[in-house]
Amino acid sequence: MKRIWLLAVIAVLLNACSFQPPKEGEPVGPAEILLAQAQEKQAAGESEQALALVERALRLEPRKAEGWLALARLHYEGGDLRRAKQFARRALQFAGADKRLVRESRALLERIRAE
Amino acid sequence: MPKQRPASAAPRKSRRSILYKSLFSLNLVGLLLLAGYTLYLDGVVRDKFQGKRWSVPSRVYARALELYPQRPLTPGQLLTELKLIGYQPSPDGLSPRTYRRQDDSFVITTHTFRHWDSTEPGRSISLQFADGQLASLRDAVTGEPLTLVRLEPMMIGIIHPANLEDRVLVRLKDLPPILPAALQAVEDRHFATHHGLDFRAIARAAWANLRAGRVVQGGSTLTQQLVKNFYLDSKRTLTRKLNEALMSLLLELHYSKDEILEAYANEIYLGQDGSRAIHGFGLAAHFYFNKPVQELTLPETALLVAILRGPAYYDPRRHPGHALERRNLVIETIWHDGLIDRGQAQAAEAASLGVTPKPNLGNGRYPAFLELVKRQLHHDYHDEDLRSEGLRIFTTLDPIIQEASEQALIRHLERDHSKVKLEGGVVVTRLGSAEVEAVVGGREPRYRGFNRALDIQRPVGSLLKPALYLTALSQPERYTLATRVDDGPVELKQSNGSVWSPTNYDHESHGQVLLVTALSHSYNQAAVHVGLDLGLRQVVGTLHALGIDKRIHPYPSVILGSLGLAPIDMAQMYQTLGDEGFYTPLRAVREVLDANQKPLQHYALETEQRFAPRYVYLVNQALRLALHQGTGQSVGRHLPPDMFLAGKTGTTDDLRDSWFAGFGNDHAAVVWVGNDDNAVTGLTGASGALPVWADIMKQINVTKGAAPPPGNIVTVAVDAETGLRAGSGCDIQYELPFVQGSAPQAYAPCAGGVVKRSVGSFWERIKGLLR
Repeated sequence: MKRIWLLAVIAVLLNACSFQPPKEGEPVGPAEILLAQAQEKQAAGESEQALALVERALRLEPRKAEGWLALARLHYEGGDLRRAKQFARRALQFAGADKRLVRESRALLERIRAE
Repeated sequence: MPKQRPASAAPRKSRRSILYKSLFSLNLVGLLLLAGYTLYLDGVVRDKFQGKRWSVPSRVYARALELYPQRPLTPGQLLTELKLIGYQPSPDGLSPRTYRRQDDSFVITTHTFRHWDSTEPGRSISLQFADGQLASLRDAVTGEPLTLVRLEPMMIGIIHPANLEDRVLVRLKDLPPILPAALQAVEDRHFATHHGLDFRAIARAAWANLRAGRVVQGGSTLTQQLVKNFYLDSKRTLTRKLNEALMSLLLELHYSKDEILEAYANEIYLGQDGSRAIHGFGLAAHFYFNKPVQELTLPETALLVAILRGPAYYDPRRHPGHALERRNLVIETIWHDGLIDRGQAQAAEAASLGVTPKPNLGNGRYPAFLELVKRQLHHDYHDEDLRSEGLRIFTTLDPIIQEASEQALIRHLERDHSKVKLEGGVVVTRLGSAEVEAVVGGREPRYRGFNRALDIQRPVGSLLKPALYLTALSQPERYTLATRVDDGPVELKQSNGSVWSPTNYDHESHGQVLLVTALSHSYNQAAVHVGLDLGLRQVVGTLHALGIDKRIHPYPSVILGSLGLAPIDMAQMYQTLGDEGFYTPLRAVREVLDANQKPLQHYALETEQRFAPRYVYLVNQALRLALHQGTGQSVGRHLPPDMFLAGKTGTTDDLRDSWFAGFGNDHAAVVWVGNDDNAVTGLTGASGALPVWADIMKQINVTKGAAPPPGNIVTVAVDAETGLRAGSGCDIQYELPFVQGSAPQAYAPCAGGVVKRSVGSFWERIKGLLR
């Protein structure tokens, strides 16, 4: 959240014309928007569409750990543990110094291992 | 034959009744035959009409260009894309499928397009470029900032049925209402009321023809014209005419006027594009006006109606005079019929033909890439279905990267070596998604010939060495980048008794060298020593894990790349390296939609971790070094250092094949240059393939800076001579990455000898951090 908030602040600084600062937690970049849409689709039970949106987001930003983690979660929820594990590892690879993402990726890997 | 001469009246009478009887029975037989024949024709008609009436070719699309603020993109690249998707310049850029450019700003009006996952609405957008990126993206009408817009993808291919017919199916309700009305007014005035044949029209045509002494008018109804199109050829025989008449009556018996009209709209022949036959108004609208049929204006509609009378004679591109005259005749006719008013008619007649330049896209611009697409699809689809089911295939081709790659290859092959007919092949992929973005099959990329990107089997030389060193570095207790390896002469007795003694490219032995130097300078002797130490099966295992599917015999020569492979195979291997050990199968197709726009198949992203990122990272660092200090330095020196490119040269014996494979932050690419007849090129990997590779990579890799290293990596300065820790007294030192715990502990003599200095070590570390 903090990171996204920071991004939002930067976006405002960069773009003087946009006078409305985005609310906290609101997606800012195109990849974030696609990931948010994917979440909505997933909630509506349209997992195939959700998958397509996450892949589209990853095409824009291949190193986006959130995207890989979203793929891992989609597969985990779909019961495909093998894919879930591989994508979670990929998320971990790109999580870098982002503690929240590292923690969440590890937690998912742990859950997969436990099943 | 009568035996006697007959003389009486009675027999005559009976003879007459026999005649009548036989005539009657003959009639009966005839009628029966006719009825049978009619039934047969009825079957044919229904078959043609109902069954698979139209085979619709599959259409293949490139990736859609995604536009969003801060996206790295130049105005030139956008312009390339706009031209390839067939957008035309216009004064304000506000009509659909047009654009206006003023230096670094664009106004583009897109068209609604059904992508795989959703429909992108058409809209007018304004774009501003600055510093190599899209600085702002706004709605051109409201001025609101936009976050993400997808353009229509370029259509890159049509997979045709055998008869080369092409069409875009339309429904009657999609046609502008004036189109069917004009069609009837001009071609078949009584369509709404006749039963398939129009005797008044036939009589009128016959009269006109008689007066003119030649065929000037046809009396065929739309139904008859449709039936005529059921036949493949256009013979004009009496039998055929009778058949057509009969079939027209039958068609009208079975089907409604609307059904017949819709069939006509999809069947009618309207032009020719090389070997491709343009059928139906749906495709004709695209072919002549680059727009969907719904958007045709009155004069455009009239032109299509004009053309169908004789698509060759009235071809608006070849014979604009003929086309214009007939179009205006059509407009006059529908005005006289009261379908339009005088003002409309005058405006329409004054309008230009409005025909767009013949789209040179579609079939055949990128045959080498299309070949890869077909190979991927043939795993899941029959050829027959691809050719006739009207599938929409969304691929991964990036036209901007494809064009850049083609031009780079051609430029270098022509400039440097014009005396020999050098050939080449290129594959470019995207890191992360492993999507194939460009495939160049040779120096004539429009020519559907031998595909050097996919089909050559040439020894890859040193391109395999990263696999060897990855095997070694995956055992950090035995090998690090600072491990000294032997580059002394090698002599191997082979099973046939001969001795194999590979040498270095410079024909020198370099004694004990650091592993990082052995890789970045591509020393053959060192590679063989390390390979034999590791065991060939291990190395072969690594090659397979990196994604090389081919069977590999564990001969020592494999270490030096005696294996014959294609650029696409190498692309897979370097993709896995670029993705830090995650294997993702290369894909050329993303999605397939059926004719009703329903998703049929999604080729989902797959990934599998095959190596620990930290070991691959070590190899990649050495490959980065190779480009700046090693075999690639001739070109690498001139590359922007913040691009962090990494790669490996491959040169085969006698300089026959020149390879370069590598990656940046965003893309991996493989280039092969050589002769088709395997003649000597005189080129090394660095002098042949590398300049092409560098040319491409400079244009397409946009993410600057080094990606953060994986966890558990420390950087230590080592002495180039001994591989031990360096200090201020060492002349040449390398900053090398090590997996934590594997860095050398001891100090080099130049750094104060073998004495361990814990304090010094601490300070060296601080200095390392600050460096």
